[in-house]
Amino acid sequence: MSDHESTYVPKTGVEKWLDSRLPIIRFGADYMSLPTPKNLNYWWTFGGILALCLMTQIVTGIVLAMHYTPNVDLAFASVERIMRDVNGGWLIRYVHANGASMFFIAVYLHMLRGLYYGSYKAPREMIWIIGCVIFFLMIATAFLGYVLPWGQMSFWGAEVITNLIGAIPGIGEPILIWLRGGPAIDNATLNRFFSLHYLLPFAILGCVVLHLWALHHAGQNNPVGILIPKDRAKKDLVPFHPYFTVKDGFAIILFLILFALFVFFMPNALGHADNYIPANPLQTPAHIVPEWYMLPFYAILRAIPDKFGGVVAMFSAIGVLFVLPWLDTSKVRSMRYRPTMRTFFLIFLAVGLGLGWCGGQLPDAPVWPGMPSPVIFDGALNSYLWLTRLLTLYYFVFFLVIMPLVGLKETPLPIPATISEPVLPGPDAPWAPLRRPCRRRPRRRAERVMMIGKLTVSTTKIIAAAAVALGLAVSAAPALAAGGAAHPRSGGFSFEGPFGVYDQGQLQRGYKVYHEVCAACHSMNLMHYRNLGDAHGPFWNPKYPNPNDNPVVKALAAENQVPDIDSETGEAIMRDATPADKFRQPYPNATAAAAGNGGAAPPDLSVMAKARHDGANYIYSLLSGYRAAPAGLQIREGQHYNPYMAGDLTPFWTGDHDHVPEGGFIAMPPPCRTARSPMTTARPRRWTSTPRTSRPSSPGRRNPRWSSASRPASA
Amino acid sequence: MTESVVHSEGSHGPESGDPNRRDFIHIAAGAAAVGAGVMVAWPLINQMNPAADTLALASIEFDLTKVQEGQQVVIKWQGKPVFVRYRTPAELQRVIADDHAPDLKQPQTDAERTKPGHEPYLVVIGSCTHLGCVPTFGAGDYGGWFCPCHGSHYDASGRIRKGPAPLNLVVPDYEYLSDTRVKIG
Repeated sequence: MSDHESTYVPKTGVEKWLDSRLPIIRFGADYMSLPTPKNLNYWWTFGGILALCLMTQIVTGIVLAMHYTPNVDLAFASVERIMRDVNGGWLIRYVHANGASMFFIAVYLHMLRGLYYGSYKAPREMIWIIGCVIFFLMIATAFLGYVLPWGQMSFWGAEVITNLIGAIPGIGEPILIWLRGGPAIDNATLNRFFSLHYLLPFAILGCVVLHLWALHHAGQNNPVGILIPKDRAKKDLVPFHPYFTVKDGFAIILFLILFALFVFFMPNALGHADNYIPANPLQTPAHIVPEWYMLPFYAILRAIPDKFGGVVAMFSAIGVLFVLPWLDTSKVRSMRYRPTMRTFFLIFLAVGLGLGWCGGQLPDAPVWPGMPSPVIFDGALNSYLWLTRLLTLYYFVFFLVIMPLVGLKETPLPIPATISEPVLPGPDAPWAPLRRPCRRRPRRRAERVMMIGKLTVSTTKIIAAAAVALGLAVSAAPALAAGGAAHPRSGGFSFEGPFGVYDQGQLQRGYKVYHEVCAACHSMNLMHYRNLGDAHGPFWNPKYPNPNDNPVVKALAAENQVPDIDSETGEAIMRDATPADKFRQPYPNATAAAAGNGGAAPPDLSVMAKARHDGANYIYSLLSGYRAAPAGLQIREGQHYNPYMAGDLTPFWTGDHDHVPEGGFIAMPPPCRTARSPMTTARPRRWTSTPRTSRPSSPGRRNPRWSSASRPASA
Repeated sequence: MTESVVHSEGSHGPESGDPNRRDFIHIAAGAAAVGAGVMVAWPLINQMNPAADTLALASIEFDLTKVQEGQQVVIKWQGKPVFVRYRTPAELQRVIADDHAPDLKQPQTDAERTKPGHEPYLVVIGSCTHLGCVPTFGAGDYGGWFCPCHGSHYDASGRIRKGPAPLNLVVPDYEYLSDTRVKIG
């Protein structure tokens, strides 16, 4: 496995016995004492971080699979049950969901490290190629996993991505049906995606073993990029443990802090609000985007005007990485000594981020709103479509043209003979300018200037220009983020921020509003009457840790009649609800709900605060936003104008228009007939998205679910 | 093959180019193994194809009187949305006028996409032929549908006019059981 001599000496009798039969302790000991270049910097710690990520995903995933149900009718509710009822389920699910994002942050940095320091070059090609396989498997696994909660984004993401395979001429269609197990995405698809999502992480694990095997056979690269000469091994190599276990450990702690910030304070920030709406095969969300880590590739897909061409381009963007070792013609590994290539690398970095940004925008939207531009081919030049195309062009030119050509043309800086030389004293050393401490010496011209043939360009100017372009693109973004609807007004809620608290009185009035008004049309299928007595809920009483015993909750439940089956006769009956029952439904089924409301079923309100951007503020704005339509706007019978609703028109209160007075909400009995009534209803809606929500002041200790709802998913 | 080396001195060695009986056995055994492998693999692959109960849902009936003129009704067929649209005379006139428009990516006349005698009714599968999103009714530049995902515009005959989608909205197999009743699938 590795070339270095084993230093393990079995001490006890048991160890000796085992060592002569299965030298597994020797294997581990040799692994930990592996000679490692002593100059590895912090960019080398992402390997360890990734190992941690994989184990975290596997462990939390196995646990989640114990509670998840892969069925189109039950999947969404089973995920919400994990969030609400399973002990610590919210934590495990948020760790798993955000863990995927953390995994990709780490893997992208790990890959960029390899790109910058030339870790893919001989003799390490196999490490790189296996790494590319792992990356591809990660994308597949993440996609499969994102489908499982069976929200709107899950469903339409699956629809769009599987359709990519259908784009293959001739054989695409039969493969598509085979893959989906039917003519459309349905239960068969969800079941097999669950099975494969469970399988692939173990395939990744197998590839990781090969990745490490190849790594320890070829030896680690290092920031200088030279192979350590045999005679320098004693001086330049140190054992992996304790030197790099400690360094990796420190990096892991920093990484876990970032991880925890997401899990506990903004668990839905990297997700999409639409995924808290159950999948609906008959309606596509207005703006579908993949998770952030797929955005660059999604942008490349959309940049190509041809369907199959887009698919080919997208897979080529990943495929080109596999042949990278043969595209780079330079013998010098580290870009420290390749100033020209380093400039192109930094531009590549900006292009990659730019592609990610473009992938989240509407293709036809202008990059700089208001700036007129000529229409070229099929779109205005000032549009994300053309920006994406230019960036896509650079992406491929970087690998296919710049890499081979620069390697042949450039003049690299002198390369040290050993990894120790750059850090040893001596001002005449040619690499001295690269050393950080020598600030007083003027930097060498070779480093500042990039030479392409006879053309001389200042590196700094190029980088500055790229930065300005990116900055402009980012500054243009907020204008587009809002889409058609007005941005919600802030409700000034008491639960906002890390130290916010729920106001129990507000929650109680909110339940009253729901019970007396909203519940006439809107269900809350994920809520049970017992939830009203949950910790820090509207009728929580510390005397009754089990809310089923809470007399107020029992009384509130008993006000409602729920359908049941008589246990003796088997006949359908209605009986008083108990705390264990779900909230009474206004309609027996979705068809009845749609039929009673002009064809559109009123949405379930259980997770409404999570299912809309800026949840609680959105609900507050919507409920208080009904007003006279602007002149010239056609409104059909039964529709009412509301600037906060996407599309501007909403059949909110069909039938009696008197219930929707201008500027207000619904005629309500006191104490709710006040300007504050919308806020009162917005509060419990946010609370019901995460029942059993604790005092927000104790996020890390008791029940940090407070932060889970109503965060703007666009953050 | 190693056995060829063993027999390399004999008249049936590799130099002679004559396959001997051992080569034959090896080829036959290899072929049988490959055949067995395919036979084992096939059920494992084929199980992913649509199951009998999925296929059983292959046709539905629909009452056209439920659609108002100028409106569409979306019904679910094989897990996909089907648009049943009752087009106004103005819409009909416009799509027929466009029957030979130069910007049709997949040239088809409106008559080819409807049944004779029932021209106002258009029945199409409501999946964008680009990547399968459901186009929005009444939106877009051609008075038909607009796909919100990647910006494909369809006219009121469901023909692709602008955007990345390669084909017209698919017309499923359907027939009229009576003047007001269709069977889709």
